[in-house]
Amino acid sequence: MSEEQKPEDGAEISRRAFLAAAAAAAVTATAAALAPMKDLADLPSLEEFLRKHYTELTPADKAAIIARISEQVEKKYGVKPNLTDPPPLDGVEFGYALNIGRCIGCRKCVFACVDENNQSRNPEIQYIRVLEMKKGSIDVETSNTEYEGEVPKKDSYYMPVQCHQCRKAPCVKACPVKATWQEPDGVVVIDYNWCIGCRYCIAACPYGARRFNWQEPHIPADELNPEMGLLSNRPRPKGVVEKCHFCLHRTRNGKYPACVEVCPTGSRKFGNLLDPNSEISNILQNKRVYVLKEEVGTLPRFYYYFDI
Amino acid sequence: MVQHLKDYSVFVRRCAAETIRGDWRYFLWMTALTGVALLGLNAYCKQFVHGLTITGMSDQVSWGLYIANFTFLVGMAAAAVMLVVPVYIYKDETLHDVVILGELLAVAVIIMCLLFVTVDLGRPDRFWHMIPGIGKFNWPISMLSWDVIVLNVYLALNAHICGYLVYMVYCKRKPAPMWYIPFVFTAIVWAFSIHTVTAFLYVGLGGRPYWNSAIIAPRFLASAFTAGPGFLILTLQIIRRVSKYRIDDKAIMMLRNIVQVSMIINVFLLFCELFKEFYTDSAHVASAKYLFFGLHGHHGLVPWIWTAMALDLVALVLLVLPLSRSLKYLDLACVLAIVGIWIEKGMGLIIPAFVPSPLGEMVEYFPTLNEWIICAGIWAFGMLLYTLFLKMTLPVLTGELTPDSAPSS
Amino acid sequence: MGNSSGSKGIPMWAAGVSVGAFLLLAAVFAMNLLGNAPANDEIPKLSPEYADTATVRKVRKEMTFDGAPCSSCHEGTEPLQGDPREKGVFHEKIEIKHGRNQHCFNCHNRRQPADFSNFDGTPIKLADVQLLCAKCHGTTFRDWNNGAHGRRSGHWDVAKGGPKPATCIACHNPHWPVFKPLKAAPAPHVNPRTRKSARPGAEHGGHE
Repeated sequence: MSEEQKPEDGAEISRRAFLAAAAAAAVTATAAALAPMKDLADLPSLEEFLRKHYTELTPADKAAIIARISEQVEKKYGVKPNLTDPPPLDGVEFGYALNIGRCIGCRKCVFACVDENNQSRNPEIQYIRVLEMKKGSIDVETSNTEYEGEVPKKDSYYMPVQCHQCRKAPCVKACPVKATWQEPDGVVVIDYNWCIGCRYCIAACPYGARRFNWQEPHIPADELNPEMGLLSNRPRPKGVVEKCHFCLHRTRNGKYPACVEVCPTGSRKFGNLLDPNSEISNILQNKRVYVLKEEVGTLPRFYYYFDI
Repeated sequence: MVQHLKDYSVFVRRCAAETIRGDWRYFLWMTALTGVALLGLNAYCKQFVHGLTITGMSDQVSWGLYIANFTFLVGMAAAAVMLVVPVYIYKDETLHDVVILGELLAVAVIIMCLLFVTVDLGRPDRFWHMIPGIGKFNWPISMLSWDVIVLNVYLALNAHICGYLVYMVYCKRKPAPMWYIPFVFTAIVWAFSIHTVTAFLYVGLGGRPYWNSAIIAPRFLASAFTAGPGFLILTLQIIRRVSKYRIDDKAIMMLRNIVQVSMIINVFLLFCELFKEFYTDSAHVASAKYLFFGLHGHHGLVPWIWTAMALDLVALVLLVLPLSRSLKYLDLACVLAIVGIWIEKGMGLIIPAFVPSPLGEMVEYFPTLNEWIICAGIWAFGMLLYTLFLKMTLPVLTGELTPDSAPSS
Repeated sequence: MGNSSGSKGIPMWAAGVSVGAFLLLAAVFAMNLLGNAPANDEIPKLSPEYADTATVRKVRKEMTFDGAPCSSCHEGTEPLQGDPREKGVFHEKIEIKHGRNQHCFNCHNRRQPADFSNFDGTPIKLADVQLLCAKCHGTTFRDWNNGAHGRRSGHWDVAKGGPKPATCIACHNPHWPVFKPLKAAPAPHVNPRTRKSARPGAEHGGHE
């Protein structure tokens, strides 16, 4: 019926017949338009879909979720994970300091983080960005993130940037569904199962610290880190935001974040701000300390210092 | 009560029947719109399956064509209500007959806005997280939460007002003031609020100096009140041509006045913005430099913005001259203004704030074919909705469709 | 209901165009003629050396030279004299670039070559080498003690064991203490669709 004969003058079909034919064709076209949906691999289960916000989960809910995610990870990667949900420690507020006089820009922190936190390799997600800055300026616009070769280079200094876990975090203000919030120990966390992927938080962040999963993340199974935290480095789904979380599956168990441990020059310092004897407290009391983009008023927990 | 419901369901049924009556021009128009909408649906299915990687957005430029169109269309929706102000506040009856047409446009456009936001979400299956009471709603701190409320309420307000007034015309009853006057006045205030809230989404972000300027909200409103009534001027002439609904030239001329004044304000505010950026010449001017002159070898947006500037200026000149009292020139001015403002508000406002990134990275944004198709699909769907609304209501407004009229004419 | 087919028919050609358009679209969709996004660029695999937490230098447990303990040559208790670099094959290849500290016995002990020397000649063991460096670098030693200088491993939480500072010579070669340049790990991948890289040849996702 779709052949187009040369119309004679006044050749018509009735409206009804036309509507029937057109409707049938339109329905066919609509069904065909939906064809790509057959490739949909990972529809959430009903319980995953109806899952409550992290802060409203009962211990039983959490146990079920941990079991479910562990099972999914094992199925996908063939590795049995040790997925925990360490609570924040009492009397602890994390702080981080970076010795900007000593950083040589080797980027080992970037890769230790990627290794530790199960970030997607392709598309590439890296929480830490190291900026090669021109001496004499802290204007990030003149910086370069694409340097390679031997470091440090002359006339440059290096400033790595990652999530500053701000006390007045613009991302926490921006999120319409409270998928990101500040925990009592200072870490700004994301509930990966609550995030709707609107990316308003990415627009809000003054430090470019947040990353989005533009597609299903890809981690080679042999590079998966099985030590996982529910709010930190468990593998994330497509379509959600992630960022540095001070390795809270490590730090809430007393360890250093991966970036601190790997830094060859010892430029990274981490500890409890509420402990007056911790290395971070010492630095803040005795060294020349500043924060990035202080005028935006974010009150970060991440400080830059240099030796005197 | 039951009789009322029965009468109303008859009305709805008859209105629906109107949509499948028309001549071949109508059906070809609907075919074209449906076709483009289906293209958009297909492209969106691909995006749903593969993720937003199928767009040109990146971590550095995390909002693109979808939010640009959303911003422009929220303005259009707000401006449709600008027709209401002269009629109900200034009691000027010139625009009385076209108020409903403007409100219907607002309904169609708001639905487009909601669609644009939905296609932009990384996890649209989790949209229920935004429902107050059921999800977790970050109101009043998050400006996006305000936007969700105001847009949906605006949709409901306009749908009610149109639905009620049209039904009253159909029933040949005088509308009871209680059922529409308070809603109309609420809608007037609400129209300003939807676009102000949308502007505040951007203004409140200290980390993006290009947006962190108080003038953004007034600029939004001025450009909205130029593009919206401009679009209506064009639409009303089309309606005049394809239906029996009578629209006086005076109504169109009054709209021209609105567009004229708004365009003058729009261009003035733009000039204020340009002065502040380029005279101060601080480090914060980087985004404006990227937009107008290119930065560090990247100049993807430069041709766009200068085109928009040219279109805006030519439109302004045409509007100000008595020449535009002639519909031919007025239509040209409206088209130029709408395209210019679409570019200036969309690509000229959203994208530059991301370039350079907060860490100084120069990452540009080029929408992919898939993105363009989805945008075209949503626009087509919106026009399809508006056509359907008009097809249902114009016969009522012209008096052709009444409880007593024959079912088929 | 009145006349069921309506008073106006649709011209055949328009009907054909309409129906044909839908069927054409159905074909385009079913055959996926509009395609998907291009595949991801190749990104080189993470090299494990860049996540290695080992210090740049291995710290020895004992003082030896070429594998032999110092006592195998220096048996006596007479204090050593002169500049070891002029004494023959064993020590002349040592290069010192330690600022103004060009004198071997500022650090090394004349009487006990396996140890180092304090200001008053008393020995400092290899295991306590930080006390040696502290002789001149007092402020650095202070910072090393309170954590502002140098690498620490272990735990930030004292209750879990506390931090273990790396000894000075785990990072600094005592004869040439300046930190040697390292090869930087690869730069972040640049998506050629979204930006031209500042580096030539980088569009292909690799590094030189």
